[in-house]
Amino acid sequence: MKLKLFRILAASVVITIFTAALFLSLDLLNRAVSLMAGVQLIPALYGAAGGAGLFLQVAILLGLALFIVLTGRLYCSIICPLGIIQDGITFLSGRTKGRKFRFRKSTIWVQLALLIVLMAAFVIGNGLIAGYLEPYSISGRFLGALLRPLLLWVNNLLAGLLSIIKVRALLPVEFEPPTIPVLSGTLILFVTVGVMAFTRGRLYCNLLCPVGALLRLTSRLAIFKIDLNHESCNSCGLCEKSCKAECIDSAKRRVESERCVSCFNCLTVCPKSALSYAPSLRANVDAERRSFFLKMRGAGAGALLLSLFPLRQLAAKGAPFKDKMGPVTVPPGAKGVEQFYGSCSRCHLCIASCPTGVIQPAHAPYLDYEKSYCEYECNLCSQLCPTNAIAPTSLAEKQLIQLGEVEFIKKECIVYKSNTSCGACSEHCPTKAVYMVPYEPEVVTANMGEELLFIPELDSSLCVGCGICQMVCPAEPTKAITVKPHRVHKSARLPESKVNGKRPRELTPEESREDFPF
Amino acid sequence: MDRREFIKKGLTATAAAGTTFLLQPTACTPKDKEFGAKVVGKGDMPDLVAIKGGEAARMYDAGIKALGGIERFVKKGQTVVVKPNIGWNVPPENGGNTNPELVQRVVESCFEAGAGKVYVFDHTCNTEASCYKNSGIAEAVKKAKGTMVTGSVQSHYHEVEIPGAEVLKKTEVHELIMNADVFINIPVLKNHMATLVTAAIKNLMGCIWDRMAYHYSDLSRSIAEFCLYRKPDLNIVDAYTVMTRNGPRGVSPEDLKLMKMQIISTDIVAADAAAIKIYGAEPESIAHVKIAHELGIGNMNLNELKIKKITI
Repeated sequence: MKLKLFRILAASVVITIFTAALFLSLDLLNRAVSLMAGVQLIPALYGAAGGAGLFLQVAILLGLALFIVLTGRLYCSIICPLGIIQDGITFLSGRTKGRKFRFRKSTIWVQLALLIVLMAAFVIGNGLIAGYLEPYSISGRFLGALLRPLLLWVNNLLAGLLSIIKVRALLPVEFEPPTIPVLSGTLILFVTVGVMAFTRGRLYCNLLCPVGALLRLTSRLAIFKIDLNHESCNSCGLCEKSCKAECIDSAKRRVESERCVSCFNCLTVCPKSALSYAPSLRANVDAERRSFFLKMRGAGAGALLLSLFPLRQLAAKGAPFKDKMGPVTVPPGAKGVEQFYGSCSRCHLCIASCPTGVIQPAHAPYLDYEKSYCEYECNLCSQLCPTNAIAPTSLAEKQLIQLGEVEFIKKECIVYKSNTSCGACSEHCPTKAVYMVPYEPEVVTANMGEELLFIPELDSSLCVGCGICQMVCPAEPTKAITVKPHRVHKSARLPESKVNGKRPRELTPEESREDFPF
Repeated sequence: MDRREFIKKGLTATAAAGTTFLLQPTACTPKDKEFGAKVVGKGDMPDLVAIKGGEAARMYDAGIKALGGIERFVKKGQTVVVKPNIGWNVPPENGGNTNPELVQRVVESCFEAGAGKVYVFDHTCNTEASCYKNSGIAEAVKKAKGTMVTGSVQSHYHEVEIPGAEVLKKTEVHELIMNADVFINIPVLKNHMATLVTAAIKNLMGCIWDRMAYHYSDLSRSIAEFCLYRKPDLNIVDAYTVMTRNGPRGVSPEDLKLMKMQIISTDIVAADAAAIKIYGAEPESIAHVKIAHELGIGNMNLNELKIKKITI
C-alpha cells in the first residue's frame, strides 16, 4: 500500500539522519539534522522564545501549524524520532504482523496534565523539566546517551579483536562514556517507553506524551483523516488488530481520529477497502460528537500556546535558578548559565556532535576542560541546537565570545617548579592570550643548563575561554593554568594579527637579493 | 522476509556499516625492522642544500637533484613514511603546517623513484580530522597517490627504549617510524612559544604518543634525545613562509614572512642550524639543537659543512 510505504520510507530517512549524525560529521548531514531537530514541536516553541532568528522560528511554527492542520498526527509517524523509535520497537515485537492490538478507551487527562506542567516549565524558563517530558529530547537522549556509547563501545571491542589478527578495518574511537546518573535516568525512560511500545504500540503517545495531548486537542482541525466507510465495512476486525494506537473500534465501525498517528497500517489490511486516507472538512466519523466546541478547542489550545510567550518574558526574569552545578562553562552561543538552562532540554545533540567531545552531560551540558577543549575554528553546536539554547552564532562572532577567563597559578607551573622549558599552554592558545616572557629562576638548581627559560603571561582581553591551555597543562596534580567560567559570557577582543590585512609580509627587493645567512 | 531474517540481515548490515562509521585514514600493520645507514654514495655530495626564490615544489626538485636525486634515498619497492607538520587546525595560508604542495611533490617523487608505499601522518595537536583536512595535506597526499595514516590511535604506538638517553629513556613511538624503510621529515620553520624556534628536530615530536611527558620533564632535552632512537633519512625544511611570531599555531597570515626558502639535508642538526639562521637566531641559543649537537646526532657548525646554494 503506497501510503504505508511512504510513511516507512520517510520515517527511515528521518531516523537515519538523526542516527548518522551521532557518528559522522558532514556538512550536508549537519544541515539535515539541524533542520529535522529544528522543526520538532517543543524545541521550536523554546526556539521562538529565545529571540534569536525570530523570523525563522516563527516561520517554523507556522509551518508546523499548517502541517498539523493538513495532516493531523502524521507528525507523530514521520517527524517525531521518538515515534519512529517506538514503531521500530513495535515492529520487533511482531505484534503488527500478528495483528495483536485491540480497541481501548483512552483518557486525555494524564497527558494533558503533563502538557500543563511542560507549559508551566516553559513559562518560568526551565528547560530541564521539558527534557524529561517532551518526546524529541527523550529520543535525543536515547540516541546520544545510550545508542551512541553502545555502538562506539561495540566498535572499539571489535577493533580490539580484529587488531589481534592484524586487521585494521575498524579503528577505535575515543569517547567519554555516560555517567551513572545520566545513564540510569535515560535507561529508566528507555525501559518505560520500550515496554509500552513492545506491548501496546503507541501507548506512550496517547497516555504520557504532552505533544500527543496538544495534537489530540487540535486533531479536530485536521483536514486529512482515516475514513472508515460504514457501508463497505463488515466489522471483520482486521484493522482494529493492526492499529498501534488502539483507536479503531471495528464493532462500532469507527476510528477515533484524535489518537490516530497516521501510520496507515490499517489501510493495507482491510479486505473490503473500506478504509481510506481522505480529506474531510466535516468530522463524519464521529457524527454525534461533531460540535463547535470540539473544533474550537484546537484553536483554543493554539491561542493559549501563543499567550505563553509574553508570559514567559514576564515570568522568566524573576525565576529562581537552582544552582546545582557550581561554576560551569556553557557552550559559546548560550550567552550565560541561566539563559542556557532556561531553554536547554538536554536533548544531547550538542554533546553527540561536538567534534572535540568537550561538551559533556551532567545535570546539564557543560564544557569539561580537564579532558578536552572548545575548538577555536568550530561553531557546530550553535548551528544544531534545536531550542536555540545555544543561539546560532557565526564563526567570526563565536571567536569574540569569552566563555571564561584564563588564570595562571605560577607556583604550580613546570617552569617554576623544575626550571625546565614547557610553554604547552601558550603553544596551543589560538589567540595568544597566553604568551611567554623571559624567566629568571630565583633559585638556580643543579639540573639547569644555560637554556633561556620562558614563563606564561596573560592578556585576558584576548582570552576566549576555550580551555585548551587547561587541557594541555602537564602539571600534576593541580593544573597551573585554568579557565574560570563566566556565569554570563563576556566579549574577547580580536587579536591584532587578525584585525589588519590578511597577507604575509613580503621581502623587500634588497632582502630578496641577500645571500643565505651562512 | 520474516522478523528473524530481518534481524539477522539487519545485524550483518550494521556490522558492515560499522566499517564506514569511522572516516579515518587507513593504517598499516607493524613489521620488525632494523635501522642502519642506508644512504650511499656520499662522496662529493653536499651535506646541505639551501634553495631560494621559487615555489616550494620547484625548490624541492632543484634541491633534491643537487643531493643526488631522491633515488639515492628511496629504492624500488621500499616503504616510505613522510612526516610533515600537520599539527594545527589552520588553513595553508596561516603557515602553521607544512605547505601542502611541498608534501604532494615529495610524495610524488618517492613514487617516481619506485617506492612501494608512501605513508603520511602526524600526531596532531588539534583534532586529527580537522587538521588533516583543513591543512590541505590530506587532499595533497591523495592527489599524489600516497596514503594518509591516523596518528590518533594509541595502540598504533609502541614503547621503545632510547639508547643513551638521560631524560627520554622510554617513549611510545608510532609503528610507521619503527617499521618504514625510509623516513622523510618535512617540518615548517616557525616561531615557537616554548623553544623559540621550531624546525626539523622539534617536528619529530609528532612521532610519539605522549607529548605531555616531554613538557613535564625537560622539554628541550627530550626533544633532542628522541633522535637517538631514529634519525630521519632526509630532512626538508619548508621555509617558504616563515612564522615570525605567535607560533607555533599562528593567529593569521600576518604572522608570516614570505621568505621562499628551503633547506634539504641528511643531517637533522645541520638542517636546524641553517633554518634557525634563516629565522634570524643563533643555533647555540636554541637548547634542543645545542643538546642534539652535543649528543653527536649531527653538526650545527655550518662552516664545517659542504653547503650548496641554489637560487631559482
